[in-house]
Amino acid sequence: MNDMSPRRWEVTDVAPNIGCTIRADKQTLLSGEKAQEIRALMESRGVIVFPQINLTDAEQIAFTHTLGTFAHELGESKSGMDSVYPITMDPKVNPNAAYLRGAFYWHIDGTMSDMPILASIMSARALAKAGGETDFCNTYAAFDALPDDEKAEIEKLQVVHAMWRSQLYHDPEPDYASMKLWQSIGKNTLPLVWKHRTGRKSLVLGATALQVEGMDMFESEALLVRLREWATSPQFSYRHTWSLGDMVIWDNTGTMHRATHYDYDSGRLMHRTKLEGEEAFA
Amino acid sequence: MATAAPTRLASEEIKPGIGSRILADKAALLSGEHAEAIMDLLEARGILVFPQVHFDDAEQIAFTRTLGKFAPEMRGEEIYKITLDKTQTATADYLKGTFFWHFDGFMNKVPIRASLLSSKVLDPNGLGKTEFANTYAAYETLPPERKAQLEGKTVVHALAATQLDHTPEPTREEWQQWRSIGRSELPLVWNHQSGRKSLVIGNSAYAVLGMEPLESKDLLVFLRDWATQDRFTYSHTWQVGDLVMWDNTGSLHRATPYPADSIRMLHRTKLEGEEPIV
Repeated sequence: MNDMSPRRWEVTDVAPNIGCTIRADKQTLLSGEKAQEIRALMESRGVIVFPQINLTDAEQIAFTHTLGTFAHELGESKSGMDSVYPITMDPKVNPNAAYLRGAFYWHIDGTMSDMPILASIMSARALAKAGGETDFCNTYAAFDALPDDEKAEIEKLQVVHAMWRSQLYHDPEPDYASMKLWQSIGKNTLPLVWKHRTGRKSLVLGATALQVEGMDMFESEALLVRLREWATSPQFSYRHTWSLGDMVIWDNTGTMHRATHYDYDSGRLMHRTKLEGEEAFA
Repeated sequence: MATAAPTRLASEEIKPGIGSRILADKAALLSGEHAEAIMDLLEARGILVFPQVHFDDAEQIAFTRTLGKFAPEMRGEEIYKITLDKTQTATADYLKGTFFWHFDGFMNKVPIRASLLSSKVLDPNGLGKTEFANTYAAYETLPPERKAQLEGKTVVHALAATQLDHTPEPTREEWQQWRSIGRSELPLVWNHQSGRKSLVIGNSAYAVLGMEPLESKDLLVFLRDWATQDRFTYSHTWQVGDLVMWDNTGSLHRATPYPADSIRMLHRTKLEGEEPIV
């Protein structure tokens, strides 16, 4: 690599409970020399913004490899070339665009598997004229700040998650064929509080959360609504307003995220790569 | 002078599975001479369209009174204005739930018998149709094993279910407010006094009692999809002056989307229910 730009490494917090900004040169990022520090910041801050770092797709893939195990998309051959995944509402660019509409609601990626992805890395390639910010909230910080009696009360609870629940958020009156298709994507039972190997704990919530096991359906929804409101309140949240070339990494195991509304024909395009999960829900 | 024989009510079917158009003039309708025939036809056809009959409010109220017991609104008004304009209707927010299939009055053991809607102002882009589905016909055509599955099932209905459709991420305060309005438990199949049966479903249906959440939603989605298939549904494109009446005890209805600032305006009257959901 012939990048002669000066070395740069500045880390700044963006809010007390979530987020930091790293201003760095490409070479520092791609060399992998800061990989451990980036991973540690990811876990402690939830979200890292690299303002207008302008990585190419190839650079984003290479950078992803420095941080952990590159995660391939479903259906993408593992022996094939690594690639970025286009996030867009344009079905010509991504045939599964309709399915992505679930992303307008708070969620964790990979609640249908026992080992969710560790992190996502997303670069802005084209922006919407209005909207299309990405919201993040810190589910470690939200758990930590709960009163002790409430922590004790929810720590033992299990929650059934189902992909179809999140699809009902944007398509509340599906035809039966759609419902069947969504059901086939799966369901899973997960702890409401994730006890990580580090000893830290985070809340496992989001649009796939269907019902707290063993709880009356209205009590269950009341609890899930209350915890979502708590976890997504301003003290634990960060809204990223994108500039072209921005790259953001988030710890999928300690945050929820969502996109704010934008027109489906806005042309907004994000390129995403992912890191394989390293720790099962527990 | 010989007494004139009562004129027969002229009507034509819209579709085999739902709907008839009534071809009678305003004076004949207001006289009440067809009232019994209209109510019989309503039960048989689910919805009746009176094309461009142009009732004013007083006439709509008078016509409604010829058909049964007039049901005033909660605050005693005789006419309810259906519009998304909050300056016209204080409860406009709740009308967002009307974009999804429903029947009226799930909180009442005896839901209203029928509603009558008159079109006063059209959406300038022709949006905001009203659609109807025949829940008698939908039940009657179910396969026998499906009918057997529904037998004896009870469904929890709740305002929260109708609001989650358009506000899937409520605040805690919104959720508590919806919940305080309550819930009811209704049979999934209504065994009417007439001996006919209809499906009791719609956006207020929160869950089927005694079923896992997934099974429950699967069944409710199946039944709604079944009941709203083309052969049981009618979509009414409004002309100013149209009156449409539907049997709320044997149909679902919804509005197709129109913008919140649309000038679309419908005026509604209602008939009291006569029969509990059993």
